[in-house]
Amino acid sequence: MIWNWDYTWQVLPDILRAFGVTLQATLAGFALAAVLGLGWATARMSPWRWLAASATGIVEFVRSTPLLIQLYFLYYVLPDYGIALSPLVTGIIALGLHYSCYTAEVYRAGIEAVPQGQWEAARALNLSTRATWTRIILPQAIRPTLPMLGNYLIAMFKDTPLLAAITVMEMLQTAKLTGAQSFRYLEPLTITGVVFLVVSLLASWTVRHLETRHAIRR
Amino acid sequence: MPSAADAVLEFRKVAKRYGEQVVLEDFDFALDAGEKVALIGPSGSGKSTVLRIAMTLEDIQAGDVRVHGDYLWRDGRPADRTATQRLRAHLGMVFQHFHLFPHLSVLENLTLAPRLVQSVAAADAEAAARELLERVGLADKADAWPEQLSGGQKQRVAIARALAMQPDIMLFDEVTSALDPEMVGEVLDVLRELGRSTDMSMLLVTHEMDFAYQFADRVVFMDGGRVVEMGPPKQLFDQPREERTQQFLQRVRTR
Amino acid sequence: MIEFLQTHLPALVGGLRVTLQLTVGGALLALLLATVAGLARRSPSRWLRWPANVYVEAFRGTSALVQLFWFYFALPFFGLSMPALVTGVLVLGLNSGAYGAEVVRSAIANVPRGQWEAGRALNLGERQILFRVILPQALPMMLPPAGNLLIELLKNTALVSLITLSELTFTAQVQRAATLDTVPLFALTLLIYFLVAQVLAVGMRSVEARIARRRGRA
Repeated sequence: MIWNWDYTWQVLPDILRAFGVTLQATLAGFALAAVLGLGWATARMSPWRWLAASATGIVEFVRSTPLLIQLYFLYYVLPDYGIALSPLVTGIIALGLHYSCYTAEVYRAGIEAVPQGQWEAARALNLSTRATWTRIILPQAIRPTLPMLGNYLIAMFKDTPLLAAITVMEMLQTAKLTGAQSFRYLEPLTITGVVFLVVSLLASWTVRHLETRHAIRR
Repeated sequence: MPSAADAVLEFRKVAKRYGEQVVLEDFDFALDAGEKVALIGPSGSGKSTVLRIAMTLEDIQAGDVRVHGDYLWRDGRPADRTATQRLRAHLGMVFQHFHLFPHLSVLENLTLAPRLVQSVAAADAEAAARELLERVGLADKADAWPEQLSGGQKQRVAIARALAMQPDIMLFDEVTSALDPEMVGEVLDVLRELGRSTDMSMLLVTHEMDFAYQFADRVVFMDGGRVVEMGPPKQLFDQPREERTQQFLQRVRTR
Repeated sequence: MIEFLQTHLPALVGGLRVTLQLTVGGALLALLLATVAGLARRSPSRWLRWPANVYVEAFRGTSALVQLFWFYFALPFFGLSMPALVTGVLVLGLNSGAYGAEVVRSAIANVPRGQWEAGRALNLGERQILFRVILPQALPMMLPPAGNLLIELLKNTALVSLITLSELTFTAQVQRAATLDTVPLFALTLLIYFLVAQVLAVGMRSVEARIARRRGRA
């Protein structure tokens, strides 16, 4: 048989350990993306035209260009400016920045979905701009965006292998190196693929389950 | 009462359930050749379902449905594909919400099925379609798009589309219920004209009681998935025998 | 500036050509797979539905880069060895096709049920209804998400650089290693991707407009 089970058990612990790195990168990257995205979204809705336009431009640009190049950019350029970060942190920042442009879109759609009447009611009650945003608008805007954010979390998880290109020891990089050492790529790469598949299927089901629960409750 | 031998459409002991909910129970009904029958009753009485079963849009759990004597449904099971297609060719249906094909022009809406199903040549189908449009008073709308039409116009196109297949049994499912009041008349006029000038059998589910009174040969009152009472309009509307019929008529009739 | 462009532009354009080959090839394959799998997922027959579902879940649930590596490094163990360009087109097509299948399925599901019933009432066969009544109405709904998938595919072509194909990203890396003009070089590369993405977006929008006009709703 082509598949070597002994080798599989041998390699499995390394890959599962690398999964920890993958998870770190995903969660940290997403936390960054979630927060930064809110910044972009607010900037795009700013009354200052130059701010809104720049934010829109940057978001569009980052969204339309490959994450890989943005990753290389940070990896090679930051040290030139004296910022020495580990590859993992660089990767987290790249993921966070790239995906913040997607979450920004999601937030924007969520905010625009809040009915005009809410703004008017807040104004009629003489609420300050800040209070209107934090107490009235954002709470209503964020809830429906959660499933979409969940989907982007899963998408980011599937993008973590790109960090292999800047030597982060996540799952793909581990699989590559193990494969190169033993000249057998089949098992490590397949295990990696299966781990991704299982985790993202579970995550997708969870997101959909939460989505239906949320929908019913309203 | 039409005898079973004359019936073009016949339901016998038809039962239909939707999960736990009973929609039709022990339903018996026969439509005679050339007859115009109005089906009335409260919502949830199963009236529309009767039409949808005849048109094989819903299935049944028990009973027989026959078209011109041949089984469309037997013991709750549908006939095979060839037989179903053959029998379905006798029937035409017009829906409450028109369901015109929005991506086709009015003319194309009318010629699509004749060309694809009956292999009518394009030129012939078009000529026939224009005649039908003339008949429903929309000859000038042949090249219009459905979304450009008013509700009444859409429904008239829908009627023409069904007629284009030359059925001998026409089913009308609350065809004026979704229309603004001022457009109801134009559609009822078309129905009246059809009744006058053809010998099609027509089965109408309707809330238009005045229309049913004038137009129908027979009126059937349904409630709870069964036939409660039926008879000529004069008898059913003016001297209903059953109490449930009386209660219903009191609620809906304006006179 | 002129000197900079003279040094790098020819090489980058060469890389761009390969990128475009990947994009067009991948897109055509994806279109085919999306249509077949999207329709198969709706089939009443188990034999059509299950393979289609497995394909879609497998390729959506795993990382594109992992898929690329698997096809390039693991597949040879089954005796199937392909050049990097072919692997790239194949994996990109399979990956985007899986997402596309969902777009196709969802658009068809969104055509109102009344259209099916009207077709049936006119005694049209199921296949006739699908192709003459349903798909023409589903098509305009598919175009915007399809446009997004196309741009995703463009961005994914950068991943093929990691299996050493000389597309745009690979070429940029080579140029960078040779000249160390890191920032301007990556900026130029990003700009090229951005421009191509804009061209694709404009192209998709004009297709959407033409389809809309044909339906008489300009």
